Amino acid sequence: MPTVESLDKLPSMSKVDATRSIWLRLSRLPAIPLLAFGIVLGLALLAITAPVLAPYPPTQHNLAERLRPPAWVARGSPEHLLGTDLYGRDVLSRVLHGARVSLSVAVATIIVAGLIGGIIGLVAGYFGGIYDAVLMRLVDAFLAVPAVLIAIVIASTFGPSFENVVFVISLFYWPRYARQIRGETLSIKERDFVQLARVAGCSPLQILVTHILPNLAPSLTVLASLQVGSAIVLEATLSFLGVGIPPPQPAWGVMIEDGRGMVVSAWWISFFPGLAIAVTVLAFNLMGDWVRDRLDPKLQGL
Amino acid sequence: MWLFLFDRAVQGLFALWLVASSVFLLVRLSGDPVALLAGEYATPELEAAIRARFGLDQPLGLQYLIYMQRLSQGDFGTSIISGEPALREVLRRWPATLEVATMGVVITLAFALPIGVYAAVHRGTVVDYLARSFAVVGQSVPAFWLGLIFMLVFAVELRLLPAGGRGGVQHIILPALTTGWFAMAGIARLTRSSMLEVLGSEYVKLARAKGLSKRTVIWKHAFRNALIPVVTFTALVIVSLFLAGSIVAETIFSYPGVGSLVIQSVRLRDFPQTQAAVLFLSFLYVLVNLLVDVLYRYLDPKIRV
Repeated sequence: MPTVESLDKLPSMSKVDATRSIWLRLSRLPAIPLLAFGIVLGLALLAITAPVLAPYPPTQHNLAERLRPPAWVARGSPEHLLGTDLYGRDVLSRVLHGARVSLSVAVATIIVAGLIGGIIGLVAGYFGGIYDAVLMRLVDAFLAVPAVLIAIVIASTFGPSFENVVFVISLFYWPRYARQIRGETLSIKERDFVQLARVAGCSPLQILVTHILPNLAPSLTVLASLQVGSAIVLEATLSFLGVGIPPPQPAWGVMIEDGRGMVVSAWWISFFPGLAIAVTVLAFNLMGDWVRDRLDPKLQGL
Repeated sequence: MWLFLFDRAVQGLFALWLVASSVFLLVRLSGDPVALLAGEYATPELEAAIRARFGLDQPLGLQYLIYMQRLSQGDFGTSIISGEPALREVLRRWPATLEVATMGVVITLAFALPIGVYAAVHRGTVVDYLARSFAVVGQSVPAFWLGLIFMLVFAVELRLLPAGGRGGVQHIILPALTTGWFAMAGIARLTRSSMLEVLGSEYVKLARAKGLSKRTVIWKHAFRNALIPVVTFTALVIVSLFLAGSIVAETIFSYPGVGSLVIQSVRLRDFPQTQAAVLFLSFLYVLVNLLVDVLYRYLDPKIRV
């Protein structure tokens, strides 16, 4: 084992070495998380490049080509690899664009829920007393409310739209962030460096932002990565029920609903978006599990 | 214990109040129901009459008070479509939801418990690996999509089960499987890890050392103790079966339960009906949550949540 002195004598790493060591680290990852990371990365790329990559615009009708099966099935054509739906829209193009919708909903809900839950958790944990009591009661009440039901009522009230889906999902994810952040803030604020900052005359805002927040980064990351999968499923479920992303848009849940009535004669319309959801959520869940085990094994119960 | 019960009951009531109030607010925000009811060519007199009939001419605060008072008396309003009390339709459909949920729990446990136990006992074997993969993959597949696949395979291709509607036991199986799927994966996973923990404990080793048969040790000694966390998890899962699961599965399989009523009435913009169904399901949700809390404390006094 190298001693501290011997480590000091090591030559400093050049840029090339640093890049190499990143690759070295990645290649040492166990196979499953590596695969999950790969899928997630690939999905993000597909989502970003969907407008270029997709062979057709996702909402373009083409009645001459309607209900074409996938290319490898009889009557299928290489023009439409995964077939077309009732209006002749290209299923592959829609699935690719669907990745954009799903991922942007997931990212947006993480940001919104993380911000609201984070701020409330920080305030409750740091200021304690009456703030803590009131805010945590609110959190408990929200956790006791059946999320999907209220989501349906909200979505049907304001009409289906991207913003409303994000709002609804965030509304039911923020309490988890609030609870976790509050607990950690409680213990961090007793640590010496926070006490010292207070003695040195830092304002509460300064302490929260510069001293406490950075220490919360690991658990925020873990929570966020574990949440992506379930946010995607919830969005798809709402869209499927007709209270999520509105129909002409290529959301995966919408596509499954589109094909529901024709599942016998045209299975591919519902099958591929469902497969896309399953693969995406699986990759995110595996990645989330791995991130949790690495960053904070204490969070096993989440 | 009494203090704890009281605390939980207050919390439950608060949650119900939150649901009831937000439903009230949302329904009022959703645009003018009068315009919808009266139609495009209604005269102002007709609109005014409808407004008066549903109490929509009162100030919002008073409407809220009346609404709350009626709710507390069990009056959930009248369905716009059928003109019947909204709660009547909910209660009529309730047995359908209950039978799907019950069957869902039975199927879930019938698969999940043996899989979990078997995987734990044969740890590290191919079967264990398969069981764990099933649990992880199972939690990633959306239930509504799986429901469609089930329908395609079991109803259309194999013609073993009906594709929808309510009837005998065979009608319940597919919706129940769809509702229970997510839970099945989770419970199998939990049973496995709980069994592993118990199998490594001193008393199981002692039981083995006494020369008891493997079967007795596994089922009489280990399994019983491994069940504690599983029971509470299952109870929580039942709650979600009643809700999200029932809505999705009943919609896919056109099963006439409370869940499909929610979606149906939302589509028809029958707001008192939506309100009644949502409040009814929320009430159940809060109630079962409360029972689970109590059960949890009773089963495992070490836990002080």
